Amino acid sequence: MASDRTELKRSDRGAGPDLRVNIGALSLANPVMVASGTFGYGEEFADVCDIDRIGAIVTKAITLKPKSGNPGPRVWETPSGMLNSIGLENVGLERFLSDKLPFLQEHESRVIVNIAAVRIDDYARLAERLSEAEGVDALEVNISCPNVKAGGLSFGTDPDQARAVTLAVRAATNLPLLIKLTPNVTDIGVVAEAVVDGGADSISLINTLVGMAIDLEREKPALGNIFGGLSGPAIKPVALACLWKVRGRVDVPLIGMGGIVNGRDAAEFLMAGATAVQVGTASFVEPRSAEIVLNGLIDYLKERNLDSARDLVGRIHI
Amino acid sequence: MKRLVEEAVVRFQEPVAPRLIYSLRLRSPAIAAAVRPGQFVHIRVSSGFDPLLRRPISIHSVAGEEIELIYRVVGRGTEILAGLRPGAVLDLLGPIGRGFDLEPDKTPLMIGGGLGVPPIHYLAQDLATRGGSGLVLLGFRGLDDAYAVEELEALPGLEVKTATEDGSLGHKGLLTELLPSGPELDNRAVYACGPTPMLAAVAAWAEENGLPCQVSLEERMGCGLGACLGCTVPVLIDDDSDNPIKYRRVCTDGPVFPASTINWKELTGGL
Repeated sequence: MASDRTELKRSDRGAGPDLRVNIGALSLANPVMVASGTFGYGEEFADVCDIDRIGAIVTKAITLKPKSGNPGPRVWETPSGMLNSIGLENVGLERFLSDKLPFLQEHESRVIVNIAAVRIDDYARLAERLSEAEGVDALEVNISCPNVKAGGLSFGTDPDQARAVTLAVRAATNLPLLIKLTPNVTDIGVVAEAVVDGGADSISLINTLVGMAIDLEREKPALGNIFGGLSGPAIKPVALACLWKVRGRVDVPLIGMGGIVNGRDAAEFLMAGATAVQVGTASFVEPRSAEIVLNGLIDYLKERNLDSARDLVGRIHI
Repeated sequence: MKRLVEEAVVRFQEPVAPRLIYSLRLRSPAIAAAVRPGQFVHIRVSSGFDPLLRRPISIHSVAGEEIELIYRVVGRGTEILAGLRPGAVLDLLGPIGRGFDLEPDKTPLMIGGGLGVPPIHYLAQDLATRGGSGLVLLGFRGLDDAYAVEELEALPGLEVKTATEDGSLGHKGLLTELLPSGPELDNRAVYACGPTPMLAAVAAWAEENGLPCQVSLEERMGCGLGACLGCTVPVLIDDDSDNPIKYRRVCTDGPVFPASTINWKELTGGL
């Protein structure tokens, strides 16, 4: 924790390295974003965090209609991580536009709206409506949802379904399009190729890993939904492996996430091929984690005498 | 209310009951100045990321710049807390949540069971300091789980009754057996914290007797800031409500809720 404090106290960073990166047409002041589902709609963290320093805020997943989500327990701690089965509780598109987007519009960070649905038509409708809204800089498509028309298998586990969702959203919007991949597949490279084929400008990865826990006191599965998504430092090696595999298969800019808690973690992802990173679970532990990651990344660049964050991207070659 | 992150310093820690129950006193001036009864702090128990999640613990009392927490060691996080010595620094996020909101012109009936006593103790202490009066009911498994009883009995204006399941202190039986009846119910408002089955019973009793009732709930918690939606509890929704979502966040919409809004059937269904 001592090093966290130092990261935050140092406010004069001098001229410093150039942190700007581009994800297609989306230009970011720095490569640090906060991950969907871990930062609400931004306002929740405003008391305790300087949110304007964050390169981009990815919102909680929005569905067309409000969604109540799963019965509890919804979160459970695991070694160096946690499980969640929130169940996509969110206010729905209309209340997002009227109640949540205005706050985000007032801040410096880019706004990336994450969208989720169980039908391809609904993804397209969300994309269409959000493209008309002021202040939305890009869309991130959560394809880890079950495709109810195809027996409930998640869109993201089937390359053809993943391509189909991407095509439908691509046709509905000119906004920069990020497709968020799930690691719960046999070959993530094939899915990556499929979504790029479908028109994705970028791929963000990874979403959570499927996991569960047992509550010994109640003698039941710990989560109300039984299965949940594993996140946190424990999954970082899996995230890096997925990033490395995808990097070898597609040419679009990549956004890496999975267990990033400090600047050095972020540097690993950039070096492995990510143009930007997302900070997620770390924000639950230390609300100012995105800032800490950013400051640590700046320190790392200075340490290595690198002039810009772009110099780090994909620096390791096989 | 604005939340903040404060580096609190351990002043003193001691066991207060044989069954692994500790009192932890911390110097935390910013939080001490802002906190209200029913609120809690979200505590980072590791300087790293394992154990990962913060632990939410309700405030038991406030004195000047010091806050006091009372908790039981139930797992890795609380075990770490119990090992802290004076001078140790603890990262606190708080004050968090909606605390109790005393109904004006009603006599408080304050009910605390087991590890739910701290917010009730703080409420009672705060009330007594301001010259108020009320009835406090406390319930524990047995003497080895009991704490705060003498402190509450010493406060002016409060009548305190205690029940233990094994009869080793006070009335033998459940806390709910101490609930008043007849004229003692007049003009009462109820404030309760404790195990969920106890709260469900108190809520039902309050409803039968037409008394306003606020309950402090707890759930496993993620961010503590209202963003992750991990700590939700089921609520009753009117068909014509403009918010159709069937859950509310303990950290932000609670932990104190009007008992009549809670979906007790679903909340106790999983137990």
